[in-house]
Amino acid sequence: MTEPSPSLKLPDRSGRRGLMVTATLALSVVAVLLLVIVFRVSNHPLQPLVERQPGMDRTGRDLQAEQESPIALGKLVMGSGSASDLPGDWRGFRGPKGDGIFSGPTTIARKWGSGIPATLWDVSLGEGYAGPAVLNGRVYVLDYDETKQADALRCLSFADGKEIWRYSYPVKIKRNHGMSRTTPAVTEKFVVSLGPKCHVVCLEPVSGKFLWGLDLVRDYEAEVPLWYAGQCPLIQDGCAILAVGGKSLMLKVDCATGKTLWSTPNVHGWKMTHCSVLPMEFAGRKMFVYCGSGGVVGVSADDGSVLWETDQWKISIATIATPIPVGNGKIFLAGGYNAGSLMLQLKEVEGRLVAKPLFRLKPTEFGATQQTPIFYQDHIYGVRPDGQLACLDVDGKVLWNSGAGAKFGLGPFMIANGLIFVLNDDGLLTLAEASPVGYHPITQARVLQGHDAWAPLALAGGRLLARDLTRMVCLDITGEEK
Amino acid sequence: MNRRNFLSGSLRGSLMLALGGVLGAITGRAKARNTVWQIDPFQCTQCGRCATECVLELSAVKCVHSFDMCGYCQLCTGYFEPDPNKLNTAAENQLCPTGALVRSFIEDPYYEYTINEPLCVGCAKCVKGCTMFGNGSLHLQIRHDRCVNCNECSIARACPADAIHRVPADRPYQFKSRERKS
Repeated sequence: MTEPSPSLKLPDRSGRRGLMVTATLALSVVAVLLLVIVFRVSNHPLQPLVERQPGMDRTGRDLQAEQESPIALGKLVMGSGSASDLPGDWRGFRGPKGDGIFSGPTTIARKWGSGIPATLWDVSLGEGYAGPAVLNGRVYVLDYDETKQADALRCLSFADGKEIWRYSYPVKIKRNHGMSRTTPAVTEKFVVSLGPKCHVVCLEPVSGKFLWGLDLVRDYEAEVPLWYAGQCPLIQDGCAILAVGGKSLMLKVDCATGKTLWSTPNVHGWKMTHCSVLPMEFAGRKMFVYCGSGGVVGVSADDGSVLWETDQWKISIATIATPIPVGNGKIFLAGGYNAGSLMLQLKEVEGRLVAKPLFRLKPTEFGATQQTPIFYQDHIYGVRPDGQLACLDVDGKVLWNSGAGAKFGLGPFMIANGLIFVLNDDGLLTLAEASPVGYHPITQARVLQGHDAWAPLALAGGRLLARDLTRMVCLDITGEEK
Repeated sequence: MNRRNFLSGSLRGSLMLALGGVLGAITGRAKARNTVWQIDPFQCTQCGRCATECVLELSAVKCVHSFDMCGYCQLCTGYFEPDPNKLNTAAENQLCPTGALVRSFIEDPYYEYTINEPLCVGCAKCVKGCTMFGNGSLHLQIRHDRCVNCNECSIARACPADAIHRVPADRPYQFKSRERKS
């Protein structure tokens, strides 16, 4: 018989007592822990675990679906107004040259008050931010008629605001931060508008006669941007240039016939943004530059082929400001929603164009939530996301800002004869020097009583057109006795 | 000074101090009873400390929603991550770490956003998104069904914006609204 190993030996009496104490303590600890858990669960009942899956918001029907194109149902209604013989034009988004700058013989009063600037006429509009265009004594504005539930391209007299004609087609639009938000493009022969739900119409600008129309959703599978379309159409050499998304990235349409001259395939599936198309020329090539949902593209004006593209600039929430050319192949991009700014440099490499980022600016340095900056005399002017007017040079150095006491929210601005007109959200119009030296306000006046005065301004013949959410005014900014 | 004078002076001083202390305590308690802690939503910088600094394990601070200021947007910057894959309710698209912000379709193109309070930890992620890029309708408030009204609020001590103050107990909330936007 062998001796049991030491490890199998039973503990002696003191050892057994120790074991008992240890076991009792352990059991006590477990009991206390159980009590604590029971107490906590009873006082803090656990939420049942629910997986967060798509579709839990119970989204209804396809948000983009439209039954049929309403353009064929359009109607022209004549009004009592007549065109004026006032001089000057502002042919679409950002004026005659598409740069937001007015230059001409107009005198601008530098001291306001006592009826300066005088309100010459005003007109009620449906809720929105659509800006006006001016040509040959007529004002064109794309309105939304809430009563008739229709987009209405209205032609008003520049003299008194009376309606000359309106062309409307039925579209159901609900208020979603306003309804209308695009500026028509007008030439001697054509006026083209793009509605909130991507309906394009081309009319004869004097008579209002319908020439052709497109339903970009139905015809090209475009997706209506969130908060409705903000792209202002462009007319170049008698052709409408439209950024689409869906089946086509960009279209060139002959305004006279409505025939599509070229269509750029949308190989990356980019969606339409609120940005408008910029025409520019570099290295002997004419092109159209556009910021889609996935990046920036330069499309040949000749055949619609893609000359260059980059994914270095995309804003997930909304791309609104239009790119601006600042010379030597540089394109300045500014955005809101924390995007800041980006300077792109176009270069020709082995016969092909490429776009490379030169520098970026933080949103606190410069950006543009809604209004496109202006490039004027080698400097960039714009309202930053914090609402301050700011000026920077082409190297991205911020030269000045208007300070915390001079904020303009999402309001529009333009430069006229070396002066900046800048409107704030509530209709307070400020005149300041357009100078890189500093922010020098000259005078200001409340010209609108409503809110959301965000529509781009238009200036022609010494008359400034501005609007808030529901009302447009025509102001005499010359201060001259009439 | 003899010993008798010293002792009587010390006794008088001690009594005065005690009386002052009692009066101070009574006044302080009365003040605490009549006031409660609250966040001024216009001073709040959405730093996230409300979620972690409260003495309660689940903070007394919750997100609240002023519906009259909301745009009922399809793309809510308080609900969605900055660069969502899709505008749907999948967890990866949501900003809220606990799923406390609930999105419900109303009609094209409107969505309603409500707060499931038991899930809300007061982290302010949704408030930051809404304030920076939206209408600012989501904001933080101290919920008085949870707040224990400490004499010295530990969140107020940590608040970098000094946004938490005592307010009259009969007006315990400072909600945002269309009328009160700043």
